[in-house]
Amino acid sequence: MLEIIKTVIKAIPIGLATTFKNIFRKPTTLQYPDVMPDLSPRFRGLHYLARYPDGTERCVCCGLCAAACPANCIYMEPMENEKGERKARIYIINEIRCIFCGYCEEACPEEAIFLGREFEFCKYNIPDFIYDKEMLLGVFDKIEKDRRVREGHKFIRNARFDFRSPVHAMKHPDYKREKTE
Amino acid sequence: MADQVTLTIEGREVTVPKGSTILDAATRLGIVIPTFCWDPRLRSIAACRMCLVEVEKSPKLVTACAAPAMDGMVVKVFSDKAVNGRKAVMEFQLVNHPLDCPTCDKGGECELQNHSFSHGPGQKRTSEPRNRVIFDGKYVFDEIPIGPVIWYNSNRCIKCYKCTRLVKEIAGDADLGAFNRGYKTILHRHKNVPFKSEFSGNTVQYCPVGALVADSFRFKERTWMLEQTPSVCHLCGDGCNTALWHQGQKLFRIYARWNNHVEDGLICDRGRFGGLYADDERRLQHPQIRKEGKLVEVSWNEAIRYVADMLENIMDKHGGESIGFIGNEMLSNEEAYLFNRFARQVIGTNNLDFRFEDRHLPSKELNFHLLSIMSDRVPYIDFKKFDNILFVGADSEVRHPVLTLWVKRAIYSGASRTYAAYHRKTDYNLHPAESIEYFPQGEYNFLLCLYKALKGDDIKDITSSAGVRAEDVEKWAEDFKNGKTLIFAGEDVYNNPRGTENIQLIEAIRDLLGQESKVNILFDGANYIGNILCGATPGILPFGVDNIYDNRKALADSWGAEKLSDSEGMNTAEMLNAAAEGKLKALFILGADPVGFYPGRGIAEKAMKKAEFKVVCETFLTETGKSADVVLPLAAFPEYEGTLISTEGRLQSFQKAYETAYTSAEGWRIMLRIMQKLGFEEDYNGPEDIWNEIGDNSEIFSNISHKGVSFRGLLIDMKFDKKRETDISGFEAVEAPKPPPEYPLILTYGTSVYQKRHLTHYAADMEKIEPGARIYMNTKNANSIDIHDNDTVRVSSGKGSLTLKLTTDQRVRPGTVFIPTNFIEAEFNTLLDSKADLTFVKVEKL
Ligand code: SF4
Ligand code: SF4
Ligand code: SF4
Ligand code: SF4
Ligand code: FES
Repeated sequence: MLEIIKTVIKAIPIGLATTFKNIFRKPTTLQYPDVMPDLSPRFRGLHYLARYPDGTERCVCCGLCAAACPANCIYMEPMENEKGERKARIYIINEIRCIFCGYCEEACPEEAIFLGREFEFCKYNIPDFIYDKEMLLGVFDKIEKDRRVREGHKFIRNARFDFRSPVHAMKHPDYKREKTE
Repeated sequence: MADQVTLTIEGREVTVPKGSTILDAATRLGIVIPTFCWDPRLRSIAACRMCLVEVEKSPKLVTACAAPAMDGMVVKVFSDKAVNGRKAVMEFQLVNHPLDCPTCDKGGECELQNHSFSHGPGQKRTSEPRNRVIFDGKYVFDEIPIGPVIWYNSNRCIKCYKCTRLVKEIAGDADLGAFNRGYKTILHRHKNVPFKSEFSGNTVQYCPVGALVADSFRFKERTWMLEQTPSVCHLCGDGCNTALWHQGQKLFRIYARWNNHVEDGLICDRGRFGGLYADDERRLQHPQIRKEGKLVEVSWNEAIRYVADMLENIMDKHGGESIGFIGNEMLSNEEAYLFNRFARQVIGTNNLDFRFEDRHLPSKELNFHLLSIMSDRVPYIDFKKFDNILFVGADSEVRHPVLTLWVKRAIYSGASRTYAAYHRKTDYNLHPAESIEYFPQGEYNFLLCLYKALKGDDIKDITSSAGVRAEDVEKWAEDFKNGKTLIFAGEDVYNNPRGTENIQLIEAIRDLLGQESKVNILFDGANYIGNILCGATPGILPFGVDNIYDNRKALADSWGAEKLSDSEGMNTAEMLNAAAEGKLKALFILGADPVGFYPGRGIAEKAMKKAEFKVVCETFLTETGKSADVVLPLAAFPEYEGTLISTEGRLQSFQKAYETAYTSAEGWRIMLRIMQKLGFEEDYNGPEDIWNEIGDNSEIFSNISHKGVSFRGLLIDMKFDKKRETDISGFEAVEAPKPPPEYPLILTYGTSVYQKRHLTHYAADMEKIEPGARIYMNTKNANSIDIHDNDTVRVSSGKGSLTLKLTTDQRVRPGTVFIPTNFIEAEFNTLLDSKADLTFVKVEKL
C-alpha cells in the first residue's frame, strides 16, 4: 500500500512537469480558415490537367494513369480531335475514391496530370466529387491565373510549361531568379 | 538419320529435321529468340535482323529465322556478341521511331515495345530530329487511311514486310506494296487502288508495331483494358476461331484465335469487322407487341404470356399442324435442338426449317445423301494432298473465304491445281485457277458433260446446253484422270431444282476418278450440319435419325411425350406458300428474315400478311419483323454460348463474352420460357444442360462434354455411310435457259464477300468497305447497250424493278447480271418470281 502511495506521489510532479513545459508554448492548432496551414512541398491535393502554352490540353488519353491508379478511380474514352490528334473525349476522376497517392502523376508520359495543392474542395453531394475533363482543366486554369496575378512574372509561365528541362527555362531572356526568403 | 540434323544451342543438343531453321531448333528447346519479320506461315526474308545469333566459326552474326540448322553447328544466343548485336539492331530500329506509344493503338501489345524493353539499349545516342514521312498535308499526324478501314503510319513502320507478304503470299491479292528505299521506304497501296483485300484486317493483327491500325479500333481503347473471350465466327460456315476483345458490354474488336487446323490465324474482313455489329445501338431494345396496328413495348413477362396464349389458342382451334417454325442456319446446336423440341413436342408439328434463303431446298433423302458424303470428308489441312481441286457451283472466295485460303495454300505450294466451275469467274488473283462458266443453274448440264467426257463419250452436242466449250471440259477430264481429285460441291449444286441428280452425278464422277478422289460438300451457314443433326428440318429427327414411325416413337418415349406428329412436315418454301394460301395460321420465326431474303418477296410478304399470328425473334428490326405481331429482341452472338459445326464437320464451342444487352434474351431462353408456359415440364439452366441431353441421347455426340470442345474443336465422326445405289445412265441434258426477248438477261444473285444478311449492315466498317448495293454486269454486255461503270440503271423483271448503280465486271458471264443480296435498301427479291426457276431481267440506263 505504502509503495503505491509513494509511486503516485512521485508521478504527479513528473506529469505536471510536462504540462508546465507545454503550457507556454505556441499552440499547434491553427485557426483555420483564418490561418492557412503550411503545406509540405510534396503535398498532393486536387488533380489538374495541364495545357500547352497554346491552350490545348496535354493529355492524350493514353490510359496509363488509369492503369497505374490503385483506387481505380480514373475513367477515360479517347477521340480524334479536329486536327487528327488523339485527345480525351471523356476523362473523369472520382475524387472521393482517390487516395491521393500520386501514381497517376508518376505514370503520365505526357506530363498532363498533376496533383496540385488545392485541398479545399468539400461538397455536399458525393456526385459532385466526380471531376470531368473540363473541371480538371479549369483547376489548372485557375492555378495559372492566380499565379500570374500573384507573381506577375512573364517568365514564370514559360518556365512552368517547360517541364522537361528547368535549365532551358533559366536560359530564357525573361528569366529572373525568384527571391527566396 | 539422314534427314535429321543435330546442333548445339547454348550448350544444349537438339535434333531437328533437315531444313529447319536455327529458330525452329531454339523454339524446340524453349529458347526464345526475338523476331519481328518471321511468321510461321510466311517464307523467311530476314528483313529485320532482330533474331541475330552467334554461330561458331561464322565471322558474322546470322539471322536465326533464315539460317538453316546444320549438323554440328554451335549456336550462342546469349553471348555478348549476340546480345550486343541485337541491341544495335534495336537501337537502329528506334533511330527514326516516333515513340508515340501513348497515342499509338498498339501500345501494350507492341513487339517493338517488348523487344526494346528486353533487348534494347534503353536510351538513344542521337539528337538529330527523327525522320518523318508526311504523305499529305491533310493528315497532320502522319497517319493516312490506306484502305477504307485501315490507317497506316509510316513513321512507326519497321519495314518487316509482314503485311505485304500476308496479303500477297497467302491471300493472293496484290493491293499492298513497298515503295522507295532505305529509311524512305513506305508501305502503300498502289495508285488509285484502295487497299481492299478480303483479308486486309489480318495485316493489322500481325503488324508487329502500330503502323497499321484498324479504323474501328483507332483511338478507341487501350488493349490492356480489354478482356478476351474465345468465340467462333458465325458469319459463314468455315468456323474460324476468333477472340472477342471486349470491355463490359462493348465489343471493341475481333481477332483470330489461331487454331492451326481451322483458320490458321487468318480471318476474313467479314468476320473481323462485320462481326462488330453486335453492340450496335440500333438493336431491338424491348419486346414489342402489336396493339391496334402499332408495335408497343411491353415487358418480357407480358410478351411471353401473350405468345403462349396465342399459340395455345391456335393449337386448340386449328391444331399444331397449323403452326410453322422458321429458324436460321446460325442457330447453335443447343438452340436447334430446343427449336426442334418446341415444334415437335410442345406444338406437335413437323413444320420446321432453318433454311430460308433458297427456294430449292434439299429434300430429306438429299440431306441424308449429303451427310453420308460428309462422313468421308477431307479436313482443311489435307487439301494439299490432292493434285486437283475442283469447285462446282460455289464462289468459294465469297462464301468460304478461309477454306479458300487453304486451297490457295495448296496451289501456292505447288501441290495442287484448281478448277472452278460456276456461272461467273471466281476470284483467284495470284493463284490462278482454271475456270469454266456455265449458264446459271447449269450445274446439272455441266456435270453431265464432265461425266460423259470422263467416260470418253462424245460431248459435242450437249455442251451447248450447259453453255460451255467441249474442249475445255475435255481438257479438264484429261487433267482429272491423272492424280487425285477433290471435288467441292457448292451450295448451288444442291440448292437447285436438280439437286439430287447433281449430287448423284458428282458421286458418279468421283467413282469414275477412283477411290483416292473425294467429295466435300460446302455448307454456307455457321451451323448447317448441326442444324440438320439437331433436328431442325422436317424430315430428320434429332441426331440424324429418319423421321419414320419407329424413330418418332422412340424419341417421344425418351422425351416423355405422348405422341409426335405423323405428318410429312413442310420446309420453308412450302410453309411460306401454305401461309400465303391461309393454310398455316401462325409462324414462329427465330432470327430469320424471309421477307428480306427469301427468293420471292411477294410470297413472303403475303405469308406474313395472311398468317393470323407471327412471332419474330430478331436482333435488329427486319422487314419481317415490321409486319409481325410480336417482336422479341434476340441476344447477339457474344451474349450466349453454344456449339457449332462448321462446313468441315468440326464441332466447336463459343463462349459468352458478356451478359445480354438491351433487354434482349438468348434464343434458347425465349423458346424455353414459351414452352414452359405451354406446359413443357423440364428446365435447363443453360446451353450446357441442353448439350448434355443431346450427348446422352445421340451416338454422334456422345461422350463429348460441353467444355471438351472448347479449344481445338473436334472433327465429328458422322456415321452415315449408307452406300446408295444410283443409276445415272438415263440422265439427259436439259434445255439451256432461253431468255425471252423483252428480258434478255439472266439474273443471278448471292452473298457478297463482306456481308452476311442484314446483320453486317449494322457494322460501321462494312458500310465503308462496300457502300450500297450494286449490280454487276459483263463489260461486253454493258457496252453493247451503252452503259458504263457507275451509271445508275433500272433492272426490271416481270415482277418488279430496282434502281441500282452498275459496276462493269469481267468476271460476270455475258448474258447474266449479278446482284448481291445483302443490302437492305436494295430489295433484290422483289425481282424474283417464286414459281419460276430462273428470273430474266432487262437493264436500262436512267
Ligand atoms: S492519386 Fe492515386 S488514387 Fe488518386 S487518381 Fe491518382 S493514382 Fe488514382
Ligand atoms: S493524364 Fe497522362 S497518363 Fe493519363 S491519359 Fe492523359 S496523358 Fe495518359
Ligand atoms: S509502334 Fe510500339 S513502340 Fe512504336 S509508338 Fe506504337 S506502341 Fe510505341
Ligand atoms: S506496316 Fe507493319 S507489318 Fe507492314 S512492314 Fe510495316 S511494321 Fe511490318
Ligand atoms: S525475324 Fe529474323 S530477320 Fe526478322
